[in-house]
Amino acid sequence: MRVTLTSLTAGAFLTLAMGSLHADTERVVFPAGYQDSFVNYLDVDHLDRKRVRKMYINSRAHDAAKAGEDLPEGTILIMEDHNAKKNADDTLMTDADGRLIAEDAVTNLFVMEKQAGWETDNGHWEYAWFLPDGSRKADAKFEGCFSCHANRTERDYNFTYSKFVSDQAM
Amino acid sequence: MVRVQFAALCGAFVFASGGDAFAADHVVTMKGAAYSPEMVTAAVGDTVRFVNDDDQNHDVFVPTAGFALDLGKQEPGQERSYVLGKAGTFTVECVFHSNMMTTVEVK
Repeated sequence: MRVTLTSLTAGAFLTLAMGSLHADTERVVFPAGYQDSFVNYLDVDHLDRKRVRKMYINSRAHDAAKAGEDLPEGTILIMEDHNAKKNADDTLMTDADGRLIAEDAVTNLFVMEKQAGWETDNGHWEYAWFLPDGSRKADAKFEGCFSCHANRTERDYNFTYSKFVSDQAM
Repeated sequence: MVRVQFAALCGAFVFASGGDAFAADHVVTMKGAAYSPEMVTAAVGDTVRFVNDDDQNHDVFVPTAGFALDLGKQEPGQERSYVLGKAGTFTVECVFHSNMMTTVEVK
């Protein structure tokens, strides 16, 4: 009984002492000027949400990334949301290839950044959510970011860029 | 007789102008957290129907450049369709299950 109690107490203490490893989203700052200096490597048609998601990476990481390897320290990945253009009958407008067409306006900006000194539930990755004016989304929750990206640990916690690099190397 | 001929002519017009007249449906299932089949060969204009016949949530996510796509979360019993708009080959993944993949080749 004492062992059990000790174990429980130790476990509870550790939980309280460590808390969540992904609480400090203020560490990721708004990547000012990214549309000019980052690489837009992929556009994702999100048909379910009627959005186009433009994916960017900072140039330094893009130049250093190698297929099959984790992304370098200092990598910044951006997911830029746009509403998809619609026809007069409210159906989604598409181009000649059947791809969605993005409105110019950005609706949300999601950033994930990797720094060697950051210890989080997802390796060294931290997440942030910005509004189009560059301010932080006040009521943002990040549990979904951590849990969803944890489904790609083998790709250094990202869904698209590591795959992009691998595909380019083929 | 004239009416029959007119109908036949109308049919010929539909045949000539309706490029989708021969578009095929391709069904991809998800039972056991695995897409089946593992490879789909289709033509431009065909439709791929992703059917979640499993007992857990899945997703259809394409990370391939030029074809990237997210059809959103599919609960058991739900189905999503996608019309293939251009030729090429792309990979389909489940967001929730990293080992769940299939390939679609569009000719």
